Amino acid sequence: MSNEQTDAQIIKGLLDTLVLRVLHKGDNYGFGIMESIASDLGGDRDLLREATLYPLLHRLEEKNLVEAYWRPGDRGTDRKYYRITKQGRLHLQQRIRDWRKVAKILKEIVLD
Amino acid sequence: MSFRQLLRLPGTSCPPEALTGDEILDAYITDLDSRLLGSKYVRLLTLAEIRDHLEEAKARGIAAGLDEKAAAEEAVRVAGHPEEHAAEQRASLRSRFLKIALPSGILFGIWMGVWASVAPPYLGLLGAIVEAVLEGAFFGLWMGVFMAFIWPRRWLGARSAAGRPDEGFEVAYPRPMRRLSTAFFIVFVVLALVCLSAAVATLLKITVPGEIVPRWYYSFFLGAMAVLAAYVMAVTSPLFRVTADGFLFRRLLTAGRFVNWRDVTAVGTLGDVHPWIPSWNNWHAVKYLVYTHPGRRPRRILIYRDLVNADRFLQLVEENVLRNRGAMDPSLSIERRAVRR
Repeated sequence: MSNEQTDAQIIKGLLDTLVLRVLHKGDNYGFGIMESIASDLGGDRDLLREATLYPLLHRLEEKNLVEAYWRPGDRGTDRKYYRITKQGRLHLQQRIRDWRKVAKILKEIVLD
Repeated sequence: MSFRQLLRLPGTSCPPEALTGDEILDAYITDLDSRLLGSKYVRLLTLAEIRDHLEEAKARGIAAGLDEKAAAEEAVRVAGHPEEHAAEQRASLRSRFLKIALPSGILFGIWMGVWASVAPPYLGLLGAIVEAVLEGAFFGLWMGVFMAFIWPRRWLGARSAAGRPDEGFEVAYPRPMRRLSTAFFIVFVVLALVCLSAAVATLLKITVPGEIVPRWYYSFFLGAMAVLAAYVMAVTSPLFRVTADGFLFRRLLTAGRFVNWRDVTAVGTLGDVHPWIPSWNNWHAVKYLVYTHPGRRPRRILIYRDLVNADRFLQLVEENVLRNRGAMDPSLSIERRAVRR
């Protein structure tokens, strides 16, 4: 696996966690999730692009980690909202534990 | 007509419900639509989500001081190339097609093969295999195409016309589908009556020498299958008439019963209650509600997500469950409490 592929895999795993974390706070829709993550990422907001977000949301939906429902948005047109499922919450907890381990290893071994 | 165009039937042009009235955004949406697969309502699911994103991004740009045209251009620029969204939709539909077509084709093929080998005219092993392969392929192909490319997971646009609960709205499959269900129901009932009558009649006669299974078995078995199919038709085509006070729930051949909102005690997902339910065709994601009747056991009603207005109905159900049971997470525990009552 090339370095670029490895980076992509790491970022993909990280984005899953970020999206689930946003939805853990409450139901949200595509643009809202994007804004929330971009605000959290600050200078690293380029990590998440629109063309990455939607496939990611759909993948999480396929895995039953989030469920989607449609409701009229502010303009009265259909808006797709996402909600974290019970399975999604468990997955998020596990991912947070995994990332803590990774952060610990990075801090204590790699970056020391 | 190309193969891709065939997979966009019915309704190959860009659905007007997906358009915004902004020339720049609409050009992007039309371009995206031309790259998508599936019927109009299947494509609308992707288009509506992207349209909402583009409109939000444009509004954000205007709020940040851009003029309308510049805001629309910026919204389109950051949305990425339409092909990026379209490729994901096509891959997702193809994967759904395979997930539906393969198991249903294989199961139906085996079924028909077994049937062909024991029912007259006896085709022998080779004949049964040929029949199994051909009929399995046809059935699997049709099921896959229908479930992936024709039938949407949600009905958007004109199908889910706006309406407040106090005005009342219906939650059901589209009318042509309901008529088809009723027609199939009648066909299966007639078939069941014919087959069961034939079973009784042939039971009284002497079986033909050389028959693998006595002939009345087939008639009885076919009759039983027709009864089962009629039952499936009857229970999988529900109709809810939702009002401010509650909802009227009807199915084929059952008298409608009115459920008051105050009697709705729980809402949940089947997969959470029964983890053994397969995720195939999203069965695990089917929602249910529980309501109580004075002096009776709580009853459960399934709510399929692909009913027109299902999401709006579920929203009301959730609100009323929370109101009835206090502010708590709608989950299995609520249902258990309701069942214990």
